[in-house]
Amino acid sequence: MRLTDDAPADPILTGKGLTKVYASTGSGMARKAAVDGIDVSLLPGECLAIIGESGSGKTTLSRLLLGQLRPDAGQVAYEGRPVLHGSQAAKALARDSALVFQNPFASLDPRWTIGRSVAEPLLAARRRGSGHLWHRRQDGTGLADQVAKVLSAVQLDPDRLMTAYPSDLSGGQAQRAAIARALIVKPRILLADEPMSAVDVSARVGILHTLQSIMAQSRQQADPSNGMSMIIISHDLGVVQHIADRVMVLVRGKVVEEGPVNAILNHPKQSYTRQLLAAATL
Amino acid sequence: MSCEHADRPRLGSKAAFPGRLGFFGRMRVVLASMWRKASGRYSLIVLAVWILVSLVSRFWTPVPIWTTDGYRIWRAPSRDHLLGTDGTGADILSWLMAGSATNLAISFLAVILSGVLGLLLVMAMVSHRSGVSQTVVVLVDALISLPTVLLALILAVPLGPSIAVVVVACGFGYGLNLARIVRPQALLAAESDYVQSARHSGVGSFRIFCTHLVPNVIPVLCVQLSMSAGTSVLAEAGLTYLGVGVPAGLPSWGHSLTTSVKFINVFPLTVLWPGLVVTMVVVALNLFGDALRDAIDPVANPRLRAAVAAAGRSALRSEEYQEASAQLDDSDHHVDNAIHAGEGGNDVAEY
Amino acid sequence: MSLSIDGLSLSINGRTILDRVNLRVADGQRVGLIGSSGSGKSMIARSVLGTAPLTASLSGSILVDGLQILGSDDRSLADLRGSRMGMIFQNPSTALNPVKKVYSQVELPLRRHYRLSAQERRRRVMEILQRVGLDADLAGSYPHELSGGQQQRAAIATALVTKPRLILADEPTTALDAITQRQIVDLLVSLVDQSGASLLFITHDFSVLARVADYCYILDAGRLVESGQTQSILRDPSSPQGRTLVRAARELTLSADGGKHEAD
Repeated sequence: MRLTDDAPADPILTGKGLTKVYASTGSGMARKAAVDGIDVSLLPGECLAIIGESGSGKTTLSRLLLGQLRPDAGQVAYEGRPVLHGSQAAKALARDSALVFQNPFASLDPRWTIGRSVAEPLLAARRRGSGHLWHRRQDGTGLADQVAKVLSAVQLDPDRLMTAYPSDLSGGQAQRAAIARALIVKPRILLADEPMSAVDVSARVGILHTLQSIMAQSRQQADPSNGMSMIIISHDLGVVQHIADRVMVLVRGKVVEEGPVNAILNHPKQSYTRQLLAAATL
Repeated sequence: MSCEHADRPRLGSKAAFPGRLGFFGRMRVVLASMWRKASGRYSLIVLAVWILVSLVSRFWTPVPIWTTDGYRIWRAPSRDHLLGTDGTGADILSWLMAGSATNLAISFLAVILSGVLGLLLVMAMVSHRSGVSQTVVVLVDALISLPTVLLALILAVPLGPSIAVVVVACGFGYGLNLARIVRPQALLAAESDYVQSARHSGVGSFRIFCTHLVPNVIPVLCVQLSMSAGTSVLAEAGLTYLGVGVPAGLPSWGHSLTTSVKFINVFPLTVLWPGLVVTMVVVALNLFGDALRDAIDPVANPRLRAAVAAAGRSALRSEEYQEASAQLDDSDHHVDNAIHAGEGGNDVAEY
Repeated sequence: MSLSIDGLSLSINGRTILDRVNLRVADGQRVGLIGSSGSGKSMIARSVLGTAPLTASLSGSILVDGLQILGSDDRSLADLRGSRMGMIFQNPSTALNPVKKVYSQVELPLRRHYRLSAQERRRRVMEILQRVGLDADLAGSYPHELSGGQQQRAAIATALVTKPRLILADEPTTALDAITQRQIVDLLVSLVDQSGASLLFITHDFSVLARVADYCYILDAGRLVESGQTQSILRDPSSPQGRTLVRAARELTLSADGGKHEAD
């Protein structure tokens, strides 16, 4: 399953010297770089885990990588093309990527049914494709089928859940619905920002298995270099150990350790990483 | 709300996207939910009577309203004049009935105007161009200090007393108020993760406003707009008393009050009747807003959620989605239970 | 202080939240209560504090040091809360009052329950802040100026400043990140042990519970399904719910040698 060393594919997404400084709110407070000169690359079909405590800049980094924030210094490149605001590469990156947030109930519109929420990105993509932004009679052919398929892929019962509202779901189910919403447009990059932090431990395992099976499915495709890549953000090494190929540890906006997950788990170099390991033992 | 329906996905010849309960089906559940509560029942009855009387009064009143009898003025209620007569000898009941149509029109138009104006302002206030949103916020704060009465007086200079003065003054004032009250809710939705996801998927700002923001502020809208309707009834009475409201010759509740209020010490009943009608209607409108909010919001109303789920399920069952739900885990029973356990989830099917 | 819950049932609008729960915390003992979300574990804590929703109907018995909580009047319960019973909540950012400085929040239970001089109050507040590991200069800051971990430390200080004999901790680490979680748990355990108080620790995570409690109860859908020594439940859970929770905890943690990493 793991990527083999003999065929190093070109990275799908790279960031060079990424820096983001937030304007300080209070007077007299030093301007602190949330992300400070980080280099990162993401291979096709790879799962990269970004680990760090709250305030370490991991969310900022991920938004920079998806082109949602403009870096103060450094550059993001998607398939080798620089992602500049409004460029073709930026549009392609937005089209080919999808997001999963920490709190599933905040990421699903409480007044929409699950089916409608899940279908939304697909409809948006079709509108874009047809060029008729306000076409009343949209081509909805097979929409319900596709929603049902993607809900099944995240182990949710489409028959029951497609017409349910988020408030009728448990946290774990809602998060899987949010994952389905991200998957329906077949993204090449899936960004999961603390996808398991807001749900309880048994639901976390369910979500983990869902993400694992999605990765496994994408790896079984005919062209492995075209598989889906995933960036998973977490504060907990234990949660990502089974799914990540590579781990990047952030402390205060800087990378302190990076490497294959086995190397990090077995031979942590930094004391901070050792603390993370200690915190993740039973 | 209209744009919310406009973009619903259509499945070609197939019925609709599962989870789409038709407008009438939805309204049936909403009305039934409102009817379950005493306050909702009261407001529905009063509003229904109001509308009915307005329609009937266009064609029939117990006594034609222009029939006056100089020998029978300030009469107490009698068989001929159920609520008595006023200072011109006209039948009070007939005038109240005829006035209800005017007041209904004023309330309706004021609500529409304030709703449209309020939502347009909110749309500008949550705009991403900070120049636009900041300007509109300041503008609204400045304009909101303009009293409705003053605005009506200004408008009355070119227009003279007319329904338009009342409607525009009320609609403008309440629209500004609405914008101010709705803005925090809309901002909350605009900054939520689901809007961020939608934006990332390439959904346009206008569509996001119509499909995500508006449905999520509907609870506030219901309460505010129904209160605006109630206040416009009161404002009509006040403005008509000042002489800038409904012109003489057009019956309205404000007129009924104005013509008799000078003689309140002598003939209190003639003031009591229009006062009673206005109070009942205003109370009903306020209760209507609360009841509608509780019934129309799927988050607050489990019966509505259950009805939507039931409609969608039957649509799905008729299609061939069964094979898709083959590989499932057990944890999903939760939802089914939740839907059915939701108070009276089962009797929704009866509606 | 000992806590003894017998046959506690709680229902809201006819919906059963708790069903005949029996639970014991001996004097000076640390006991865990574990269950997934919606199992009713927070409602047990609220029942003990006497802050269950007004619409809830309760039956059974809750004895705190021989004092019957159920049916006690609000006045005497309010005297108990914050003085002899301390409570720590899940989310420190909402449990702390955002417009009050840390110092006055930690001081509040002292003002409410004791007649002390200002110097004595100050001495006690500073002492507890130091013991929870907060710098003295943080006493003058507002909650939003603190990190999540510091906020939870302040909340712990508020709960412990009156030296309560029974501490209820409702998921105190869930909102924190992994390293901070460890620190807070270890801090709580050491503070509780120093003071000799009893602790009821509520969580959904066995990996946290294992560090806190020697004895634990597993709650599922309002019913206790298993209880026993934490280590023996971890080794061999007998109930299906217990197995799920233990398996989840094992899967989401590293084994002790740190080298257990399987490919999918």
